[in-house]
Amino acid sequence: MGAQRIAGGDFDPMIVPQSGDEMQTLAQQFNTMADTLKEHTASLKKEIAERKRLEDQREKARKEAEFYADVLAHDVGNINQITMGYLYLLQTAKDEKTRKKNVDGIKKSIMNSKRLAESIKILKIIKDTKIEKFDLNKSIERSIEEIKAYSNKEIEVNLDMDKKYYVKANDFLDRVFFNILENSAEFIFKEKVIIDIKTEEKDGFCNVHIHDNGIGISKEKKKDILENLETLSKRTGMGFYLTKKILERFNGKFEIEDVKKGTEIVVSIPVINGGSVRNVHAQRSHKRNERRG
Amino acid sequence: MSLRILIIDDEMEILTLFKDFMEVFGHKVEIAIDGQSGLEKFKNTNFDLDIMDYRMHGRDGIQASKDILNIDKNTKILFASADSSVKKEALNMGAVGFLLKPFDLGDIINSVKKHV
Repeated sequence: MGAQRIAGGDFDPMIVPQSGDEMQTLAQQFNTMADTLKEHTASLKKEIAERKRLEDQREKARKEAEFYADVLAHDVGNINQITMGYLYLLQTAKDEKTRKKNVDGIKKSIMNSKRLAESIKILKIIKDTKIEKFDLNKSIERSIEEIKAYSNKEIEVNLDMDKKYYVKANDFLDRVFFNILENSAEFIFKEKVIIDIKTEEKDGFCNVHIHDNGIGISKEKKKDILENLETLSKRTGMGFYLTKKILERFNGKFEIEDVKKGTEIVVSIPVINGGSVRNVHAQRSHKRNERRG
Repeated sequence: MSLRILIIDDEMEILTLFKDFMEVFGHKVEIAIDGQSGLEKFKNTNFDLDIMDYRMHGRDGIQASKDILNIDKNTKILFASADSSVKKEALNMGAVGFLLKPFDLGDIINSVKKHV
């Protein structure tokens, strides 16, 4: 019976005869053996769990490395191609205006390269960054200024913030808004990019609605952005992936709304109450694109 | 000789660069931001040449090229990718040439002259 229990993995002492003869000695040896087996099994289980943890860690690191390799191959490949393109055009430029346009293009490519390196750094450190009381309105305003300086398109932003918001975030929130605005500017084939930004508070979150007059996002791509972002990023770059990871750190998220024209992305971030001033209606129109010199 | 060219690439700035550059040589260029919209454009217009990126959302360049060749097997597709590992597959699938990114814009014109 005892041997059957041990065979079944139950190593607790089970035979306690008090006969004082060799049967008792045998029983004691049997119990010692069961104890040793118990310790050995526990140690094996621990070792297996540790090995599994290390294997999982290795697999995670392998997937992460593969992800970065794919994303970098895509993004660096594009940046290099754009730089080569502008360099060729610069070499063949016949007037000062064309030369300046191509020099600006090369500068922008260098900035993109810098931004890509920053993105990787942010992905690495974002989990450990400190969350603080952060001025959302100013973050949006800074991002608007930055996208206007960065893009070579004319960008009009209609800003409608219903009040002053302080949210649980940090400096990297600027990058969230910049990425979304950059996406809007890139996928608008028109000469003028029009972006409407609106804020509202709901269930402890500030929802920032960012709507553009672009080509919109197909249902297929929307599904991939929301459900399969890692795979999508390997093909289309790091923008949305970084946005998602930063917002996750803030316990926030972004969603893509169904709209008839253009694209509407809603960024939700937990609000810190107090310090907000209701009924302050800030409406600004940034009509001219201030190009970076 | 003026050609009708369709460029399919997921990077807007590359599309604009290539388009502006090729139009200087008198070609009529249309652009598409992914394989699906490229396919739609292809169905509506006859192009002399398609310049195709590989890594794109949805249909990748290989799949989009196969779809295009299924519609018109005589279509000339010039592959342009930073991933040299797809060169063999692209050429086996029926691409007339392969440009490894990054390349000089002049190489596109030379390839067009060579293949069309």
